[in-house]
Amino acid sequence: MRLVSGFIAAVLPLGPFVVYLTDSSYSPALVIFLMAVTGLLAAYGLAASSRAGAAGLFSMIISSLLLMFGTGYIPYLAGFSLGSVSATGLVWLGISIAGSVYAYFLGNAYHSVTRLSRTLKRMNYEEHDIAELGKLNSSMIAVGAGLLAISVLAYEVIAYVRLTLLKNSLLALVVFLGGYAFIMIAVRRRAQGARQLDAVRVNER
Amino acid sequence: MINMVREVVRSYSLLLAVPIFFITVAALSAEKIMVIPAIFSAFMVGFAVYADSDVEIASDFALNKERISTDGLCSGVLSLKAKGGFGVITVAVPPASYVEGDKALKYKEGLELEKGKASRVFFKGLNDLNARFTVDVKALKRGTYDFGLVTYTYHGLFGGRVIERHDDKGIRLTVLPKYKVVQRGVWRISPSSVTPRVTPNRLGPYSTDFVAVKEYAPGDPYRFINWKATARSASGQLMVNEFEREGLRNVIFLVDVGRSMRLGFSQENPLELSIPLILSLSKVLLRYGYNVGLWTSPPTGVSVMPSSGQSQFQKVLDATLEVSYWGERGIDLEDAKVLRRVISETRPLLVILTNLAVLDDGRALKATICANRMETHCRLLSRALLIDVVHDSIIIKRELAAEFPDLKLLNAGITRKSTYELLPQGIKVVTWDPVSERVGGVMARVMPLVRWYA
Repeated sequence: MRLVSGFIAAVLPLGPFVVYLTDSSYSPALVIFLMAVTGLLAAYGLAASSRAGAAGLFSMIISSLLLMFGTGYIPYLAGFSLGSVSATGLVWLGISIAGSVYAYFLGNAYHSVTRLSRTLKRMNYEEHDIAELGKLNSSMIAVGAGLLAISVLAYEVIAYVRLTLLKNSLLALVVFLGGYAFIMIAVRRRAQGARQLDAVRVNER
Repeated sequence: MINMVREVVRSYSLLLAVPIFFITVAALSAEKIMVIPAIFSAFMVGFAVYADSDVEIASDFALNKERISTDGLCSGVLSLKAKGGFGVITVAVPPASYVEGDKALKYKEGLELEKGKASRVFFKGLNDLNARFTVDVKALKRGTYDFGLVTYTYHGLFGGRVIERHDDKGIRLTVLPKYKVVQRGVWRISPSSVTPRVTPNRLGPYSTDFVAVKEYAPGDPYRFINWKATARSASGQLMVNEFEREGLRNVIFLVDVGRSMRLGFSQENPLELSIPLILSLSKVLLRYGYNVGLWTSPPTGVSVMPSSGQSQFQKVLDATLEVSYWGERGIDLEDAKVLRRVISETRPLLVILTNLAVLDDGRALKATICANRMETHCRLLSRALLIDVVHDSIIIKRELAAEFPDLKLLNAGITRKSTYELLPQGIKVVTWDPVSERVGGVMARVMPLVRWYA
């Protein structure tokens, strides 16, 4: 399963560039060059097992910047545009950039699991024990895929409801940041709440 | 609330920037499709924060037996519960939890896994973890082992958090040495004088048989003060008459814990083979009403004052659990003084168990049993019987066992006469080859000598 997550972490970062090549007016030479750099980063990450998430990180940043310099406020103010993406291509671009994010996290997990696997082998753990790391990988893949599906679903809900609030992009930014902070605090609180609950149980004993 | 936000921001500043970057891109590019990576990255960061949170691990470890004999088995059961976090937990229970540190060799040599694994790896997913496993451990060597240490290491998914904890349950495993209880022998060993069989006193009352005049020592009766000798004493020391004491015979086992006693194999060497012999001899001697004591040479703090009765056997047994090689302990000088005093007070028969493989190994022994501590002319503190436990055939037997399973060695390689000649005069030597002669055999040779000397 570790190899599967490594493979996904290497392949997904190429997705946004494929969309730019097929469904956009961006310079193919530029896109191919960036794609090659991403590919090299992915190959190096897999071989060295140290920077497997780098390709995902590079891909998500560069493909977002390409979009930002192709459409929206910056081309409007600067008076030039790198290119444009078709309406169909935009949907796939959004999903493929999310895929790069997924690749970034999977790559980090791949690196962590590879290191742990080496440590366990050095400590003479048996294959049965090392197989537990496979469960960790498969769970990570499943959780990531589930969250990606939920994200797409959430986008569809937002698009369907057509909230007035979201028509203003700056206001949407503020709403997102508020919601984001709320998620982080809720996650942190849950972890802390579990600790406090256990501490109470220990005291009761 | 503000503190919590600060904590989150401080710990995950780079990661938190990812969703903000996407939502900024969404705002600047005016493309709402970028909401997908923004939401997804927010979820993933939330997941990473959750995976990196503290994991709560609770465990319960229990042994089915805390007292077994060598070659005996005991089972340990570990129940493990874990909450929070997302990663893997490595767990080690005894003996694997003691593989590092200064006790590692003791556990490696003394205990063996018979069934199961003492180190395990568990995946901790989103659900709470409830795991349980059993290990069967075989005891190879006598001793007292701390057996309650459970170690956990939690490795978070993204490698950001490694939590290592040690939980000592305070369990101790006692591995008793196996010894032979000899019920009847060919020897006659009842003490020649008529004395009570069991008494808490080390010695009986003073007789009228004069021994010598000596310097007063605390504990000497005032009525034995020799005033004339005191007046004649140049140093002004108080002098007392010393008389023979009636009562029980005393035997002190003096076990050499030097390097030569370790020659052979970890579970089969002169020291390990001496322990069952000491216990078998103690059992018989105590049954016949002797006072039995135990010391190590050099003194290492493990000692049993000579006394009689069945409770004394338990004391000797407990002390043998602590007897280990000299290299692992320091010399207890205070204990050496106590031993000398006990010898001078009780005048016991010293039964010395050693392996005279190298002459140098006898030096420490000499320093303990010679009153004048001189290399050449040693005046023994007391009568002594030396049991020389030879190691040669232990090694030969194991090496040849595979090729010649029915091989019987007849005192092979025992040519130590020249070494014995260098020993202080007055020591009776009994050579014991544990491979070719069983404990019962050597006891049949030793017991008449004990009777004679004690």
